Amino acid sequence: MTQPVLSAEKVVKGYTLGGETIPVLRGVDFQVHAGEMVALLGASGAGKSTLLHVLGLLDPPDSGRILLAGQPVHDLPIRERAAIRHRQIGFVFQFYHLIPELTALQNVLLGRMMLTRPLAWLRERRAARARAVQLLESVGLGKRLRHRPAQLSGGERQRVAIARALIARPRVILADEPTGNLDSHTAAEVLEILFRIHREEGISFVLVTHNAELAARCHRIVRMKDGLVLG
Amino acid sequence: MPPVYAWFLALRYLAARRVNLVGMLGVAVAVWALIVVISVFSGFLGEITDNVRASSAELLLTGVRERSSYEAVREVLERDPDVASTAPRLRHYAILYPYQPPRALGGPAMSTRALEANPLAFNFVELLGIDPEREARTSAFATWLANPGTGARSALASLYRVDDPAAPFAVPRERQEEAMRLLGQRVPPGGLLEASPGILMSWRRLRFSEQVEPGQQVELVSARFAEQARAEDLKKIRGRFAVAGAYETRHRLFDDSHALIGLEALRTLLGHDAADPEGTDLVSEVAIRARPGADLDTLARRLAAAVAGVSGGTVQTWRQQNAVFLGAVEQERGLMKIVLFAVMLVAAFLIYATLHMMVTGKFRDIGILMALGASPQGIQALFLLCGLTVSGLGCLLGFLAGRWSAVHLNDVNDAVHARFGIELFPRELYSLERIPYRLEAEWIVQVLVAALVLSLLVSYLPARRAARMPPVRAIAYE
Repeated sequence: MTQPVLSAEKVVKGYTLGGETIPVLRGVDFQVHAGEMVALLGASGAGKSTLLHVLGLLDPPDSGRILLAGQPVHDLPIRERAAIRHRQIGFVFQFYHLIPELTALQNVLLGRMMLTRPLAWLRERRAARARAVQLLESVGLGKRLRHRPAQLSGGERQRVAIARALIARPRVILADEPTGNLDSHTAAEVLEILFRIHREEGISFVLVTHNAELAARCHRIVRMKDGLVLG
Repeated sequence: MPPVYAWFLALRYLAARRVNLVGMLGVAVAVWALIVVISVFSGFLGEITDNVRASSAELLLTGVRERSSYEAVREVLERDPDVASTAPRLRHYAILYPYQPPRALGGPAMSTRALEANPLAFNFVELLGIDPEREARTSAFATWLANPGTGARSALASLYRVDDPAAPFAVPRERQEEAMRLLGQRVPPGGLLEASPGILMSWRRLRFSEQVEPGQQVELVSARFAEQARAEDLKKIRGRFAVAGAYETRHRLFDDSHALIGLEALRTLLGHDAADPEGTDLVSEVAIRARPGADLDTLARRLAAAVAGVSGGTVQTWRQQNAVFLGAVEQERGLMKIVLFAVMLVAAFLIYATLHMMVTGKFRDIGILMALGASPQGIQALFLLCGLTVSGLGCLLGFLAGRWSAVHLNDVNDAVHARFGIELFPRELYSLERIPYRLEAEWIVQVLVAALVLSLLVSYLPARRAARMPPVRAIAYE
């Protein structure tokens, strides 16, 4: 087997609430390989989302390691972790999380702006815009470029979020219940898009879901319970 | 340089939230006020300094010993190569009132009310006795005589214009008789025995008056101590003069208090006979004009040392003579700066408050941006940029409005006066024809830099709070 793109080793993570520490992850080992699509299944409170945040370097583990292509990245300075997140990791959230003031196109472009200085942006802008338009067209929103999130349906918003996650060409996409807020018809459409992207771009996916049917379509299913990976 | 998303989002956040206009308007008002008010103050100060300078001799020897002789002092002073000319001055104090012929001579009694309304009546004046010819060479005396009625001033001034600047105190007997007739006083048969010497009143005193006739006789009452004075030796002095015309230095304090008469006339009044070869050519101060380029402070010290053995006294530059007055205006300007900076502080607080609200409202966006790879420094830069943009736009608006207001201040003042009858800037207070302004680049830069630095400081706290927000909490829920 090839080296995992992203992995967690013995990750422990807890949250302090009212002076009491609640353990959420209790020594989790997890890997996702290049081009692999992993489903993360588990009941609410099992620690799926927390694992996703720790894997995505949004939240540092209390102990244990996060490795990107074999290199430990969890203890890098906050700036470097942000840069890695920008270049290598894409997020898709259950609640889309678009910036309400921006149009669909601007929301997607925002995914390319995090490390670019204004002068460099002047040079890159055209190419970035062309790619953003192409991504939005590929998710079926070619005619909705100038619409703001409030003018889009839930499914459309999630498609914008997917395009945004793709624009910086990440190696891994971490999707936290991407269809959890959609009706079954729309959810099916969004999932088709995700599977297509996976096929075409070869990006690794970690999909947090409650949906056993969806999980069954993935390469591998990882089940979580009480902060531990089962089996 | 902050990453591009910080600029991109800062502008969109600001455009989407009208409440940010409050901070911008606050800064604009503060900058506007600081520019307009201080420009007007600087203009006032410049104009007042010019007027003060015009009313004062470049250097003035004062506090000389009693019975100092001008000739002796002059000789010492003019020996200095940096002294261009000198002029003797004698100072005394008097009460002035319109002359009323005794009832026996048939003059109509002036009512008390008419007397009180008369600008000559019972006015305390500082009499300055001058030698017109020397004074004209040493101070701006010629300009003082030319000033009344220049520009857009009242035609009344021409009535009081001095006909012959070389002999400003000569009032022909016929003119004095004519004034008596106009005032309803009986001219003695065969005319006045002799013409009274002239007195120059300030245009400030005369200009609202139609009750003072050119050539009108006025009386002076004063007192002096006899030699080796004891209290009972206080001698009353009375003198009769004729209004020769008006002068104006445009320095209000000088013009309000001084009346000018001939040096010899004042010496005579004080009991010194000019024709007496033994009599001293008495002076109480000497005006001095320096040669161009001379350093006044150095010259003042040198001259004071030179006259120490002759007359004693101190030599003051025109600035030293008016130090209190100029200092007061300067002080006012300084205070105004402090007061107006308080407006700036309020504006800064508005920026802080709106930015704080914005950070709270953008809690979720901050989490999203971090998930997309924004660093805490980038998030901080985003909100600092918001604060800076607000204050930058406020500065621009305030600067443009301030500049426009300063340039068009007189028009605005006239319009407000015409429409509401309110005088925003009382020009009369400083005897100014137009509200002066002086836009000083250095001050404008100071104001703008202060506004930007202040807004940066107050933006820092909300920006730091934004940078420290935990991203996970923001994105975990809707």
